[in-house]
Amino acid sequence: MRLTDPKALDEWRARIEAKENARASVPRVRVCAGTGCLANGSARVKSAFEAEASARGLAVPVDFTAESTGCHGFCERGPLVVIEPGEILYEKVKPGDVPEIFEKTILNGEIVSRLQYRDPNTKKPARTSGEIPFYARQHRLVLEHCGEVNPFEIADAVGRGAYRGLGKALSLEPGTIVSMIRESGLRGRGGGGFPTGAKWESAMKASGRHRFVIANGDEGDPGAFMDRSLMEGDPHSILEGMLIGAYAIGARKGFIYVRAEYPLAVKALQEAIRQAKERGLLGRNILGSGFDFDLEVCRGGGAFVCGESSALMASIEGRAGEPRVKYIRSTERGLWNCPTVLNNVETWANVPRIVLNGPGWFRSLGTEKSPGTKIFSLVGKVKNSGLVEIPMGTTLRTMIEDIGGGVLKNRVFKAVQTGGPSGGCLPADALDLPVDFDRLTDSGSMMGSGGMIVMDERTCMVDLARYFIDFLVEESCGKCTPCREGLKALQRILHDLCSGKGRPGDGTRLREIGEALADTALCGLGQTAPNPVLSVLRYFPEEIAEHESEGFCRAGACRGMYWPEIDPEKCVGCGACAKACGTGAIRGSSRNPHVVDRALCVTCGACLEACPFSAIRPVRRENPA
Amino acid sequence: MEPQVPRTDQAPENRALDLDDLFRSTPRHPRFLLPLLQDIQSRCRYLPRTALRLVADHLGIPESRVYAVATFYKALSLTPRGEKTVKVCLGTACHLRGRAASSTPSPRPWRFRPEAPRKTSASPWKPSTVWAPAPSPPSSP
Amino acid sequence: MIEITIDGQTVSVEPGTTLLKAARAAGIEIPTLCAHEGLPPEGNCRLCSVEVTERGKTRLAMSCMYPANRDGLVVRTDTDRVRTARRFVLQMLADRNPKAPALRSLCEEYGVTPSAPEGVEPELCIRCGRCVRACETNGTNALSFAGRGWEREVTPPFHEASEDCIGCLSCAEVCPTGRITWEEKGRKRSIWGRAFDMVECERCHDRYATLEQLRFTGTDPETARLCPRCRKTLQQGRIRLGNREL
Repeated sequence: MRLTDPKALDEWRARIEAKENARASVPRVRVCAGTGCLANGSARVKSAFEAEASARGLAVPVDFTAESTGCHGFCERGPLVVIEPGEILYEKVKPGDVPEIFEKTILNGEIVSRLQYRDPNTKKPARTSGEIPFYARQHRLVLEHCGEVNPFEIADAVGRGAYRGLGKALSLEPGTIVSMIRESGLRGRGGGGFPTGAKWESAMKASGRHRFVIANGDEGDPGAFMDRSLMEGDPHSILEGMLIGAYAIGARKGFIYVRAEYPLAVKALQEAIRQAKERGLLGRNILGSGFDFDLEVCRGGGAFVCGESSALMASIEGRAGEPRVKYIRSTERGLWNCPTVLNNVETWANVPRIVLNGPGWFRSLGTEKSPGTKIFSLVGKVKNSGLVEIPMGTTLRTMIEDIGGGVLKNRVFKAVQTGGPSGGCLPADALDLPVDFDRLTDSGSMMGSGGMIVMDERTCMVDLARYFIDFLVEESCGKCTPCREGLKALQRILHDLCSGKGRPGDGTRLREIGEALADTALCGLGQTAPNPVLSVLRYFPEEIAEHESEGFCRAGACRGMYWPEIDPEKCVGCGACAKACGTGAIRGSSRNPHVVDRALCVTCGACLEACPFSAIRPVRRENPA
Repeated sequence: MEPQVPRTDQAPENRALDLDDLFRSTPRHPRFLLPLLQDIQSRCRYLPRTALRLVADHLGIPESRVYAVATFYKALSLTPRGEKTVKVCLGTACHLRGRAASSTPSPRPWRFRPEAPRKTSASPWKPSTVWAPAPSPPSSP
Repeated sequence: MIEITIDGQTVSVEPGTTLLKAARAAGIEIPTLCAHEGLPPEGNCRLCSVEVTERGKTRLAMSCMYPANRDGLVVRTDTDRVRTARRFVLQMLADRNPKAPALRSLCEEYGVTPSAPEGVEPELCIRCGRCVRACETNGTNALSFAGRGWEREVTPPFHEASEDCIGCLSCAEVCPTGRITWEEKGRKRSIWGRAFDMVECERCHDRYATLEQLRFTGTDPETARLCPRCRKTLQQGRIRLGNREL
């Protein structure tokens, strides 16, 4: 059924809502089908529910639907299952649990307590997702429907309000929409934080026969998965945002560039486009407005640099993803030299909500200069890892301690890395920093696309810098000298530092190269590439100095640069370290303090990781390797 | 031990190239270069040289451009990749929890012949494609 | 015309003129490597940086591409920041290409000594891409960059003799380091692993082009019997002859 005008859309939505309401009291199961949960076996859980339902068949007077939904964001605890009514949340569900859930919860409304989430600190079980601090402290705006709607069913999305923003936008002048976005203060969620409204305005005013809109879904930060979850969980919000943007700037064609490694996202988006076309929400004369717009999904080719806008455009054009010098902005000369607006998928998903609720509403969220919310992927040494959406201005402490539940194994917090390879590490002193674009940049890190990695005292900051530089060396396109040669120079020094071959002056050299690289590189990737190194120099200079002149790694992460030493006072003789040791270097009898035989120790660090009592610590070597 | 490089005689090199349908369904515009190469890659598990010539002809672009693109993106490969791919996550979180032990796949327990781990990928996943099942357990040095 | 200031000098330029051109017209020298007058600029070597102050904001910009678009633009070509940036770029290039002649005098000028890092093979290619752009500009497209990052290199497809190459030597001519070499023996020229037959001028016997070059440019065989220089001389001669007859 093709929708020929906004009224038809409203009527369709009303019909879906009526049906939903009628079903509201009927039991229903939602199984998370995000990549994280799928990897943990959620497909089998879903089939088990279906099998169980059909086995009980007509004998059970329950109208039951098991539908696959997008990501809930609490990936660490998957597969996640929500039972309605009551929004009862179960974690780590296995097919074997299904009969019991059916018997108790679905038929009798009882809770299966062993499947409930328990607070790692208080051990209190949570009945619904709202009771879990991980969710309670969040403000799910963009992720509102992720985990609730079936991304492969447009009716589901429409029933929850999708394309209402489009309906409204089509009744407005394009210029009015651009003003709304400008007044909302929306800034690019891909990392740069450039004002979206200014971008649109520039493209709208630029001359050109063709104009394009592009969604950047080439999320490449190691450890980040915000965009993936959004594309997989609520593709229609991205489509709707792009439709509105295209209408505002006068584009008739758009591209969604999705990272090669996200096959599910590609599938969800392609299906969403197909269904939207079928309904007349894409294609010619959309909702009878005379506005034509078509969308296409481009699969990335596996290149981190394609997250950079001009490289991404080169890639869509069918060339190697090399950035170009941008003294003329892509809003004037972008894709095929035509005016182009490129926004991150999360930015696009904000657009329909702003158009619908007004810029004032959006400004009421977040901070003055960074309104709205931001999605982060909270990972690393934190108890609750997963996807979190918070209002801008939330402190790092709230994110890590309340939402994240604190550091794993109750170890000491050391640093948090934000912004991926373009960002930096912030120390414990910075925990009360409100998270927004400008504060993170001022403190030497970056919002980036929203990766947030928590680290404890077992993380060596020099090794972490090396890790990111290794990544960047492989991902640099090699076009400009500073990035191609400079990153390699940084890498050589960092590798030496992490293998006991550091020399006095290495820290200074790192700083000189890093600063010059940031100043001279061609594109955003190169300009921000030294951030991981520079932030370690800024906040953890002592660790650089120890690696440089003492050959010592205090975290016990760099091999050959420490000895593990067991504190006889703290050691209870549990034997966990000896069990973990692969070379038999730890000896001791049960319940007596153990000792490390240095002749056999290869400093792999397994014992440090294994000790439940933090009784083993790295000490300096007399003759460093 | 060092991972072994796959023997070329096991490569699907000689398998007849049947790519006509891909060419038929791809419009003749340079912008379809990457998608076309991706389709060929997923069908052949690499980009055979003859196919690259055909791609250049089909899209009306110089071979040098096809070669530049084929060697730029890590999802593409000019040498055959294995039938199975083992991926070791090198994402930051995994890095923090220790990766060294698992990043060099040991062929022995699987009776597979692993390709040298490829240098990189944009993803945190470091793929190391495992070659087709070896007829006998690979001899260990 | 708009007016900008370069190192204190007021310069009047056509809007859109690159800062490099504007500076050179004013007699101010800026070092370059990847820029070449006959080729579109790409801004990849990052040597030609200058400090630009526009609307109160100062930033480092590549003069080979930065267009002078606004009156009152202030450009400084010799500040500490500029010198540090250039020194860094030269150091990075010289570390990998310690023997490249084009770098030697620049390194001397900026006080840079190649540090010969361990494990780095000395090379001659600075990846400025002039050759690739020359080949593109010609329309031959036989060369491209392959690979990426540190491994990026200039090559014909598959590292083999390319059917698209016409042996015109444009790539070698624009190469600032002498990385691209060729050989001429008798009537054969070889470059990039491919040998070409040379065409000899019937008048001066200069082997002035390859057969492939003439084919590529569509020069008809009759015209091709003479080299362009002889053709020109003869043509001018005829005109003069005509004048005298008049």
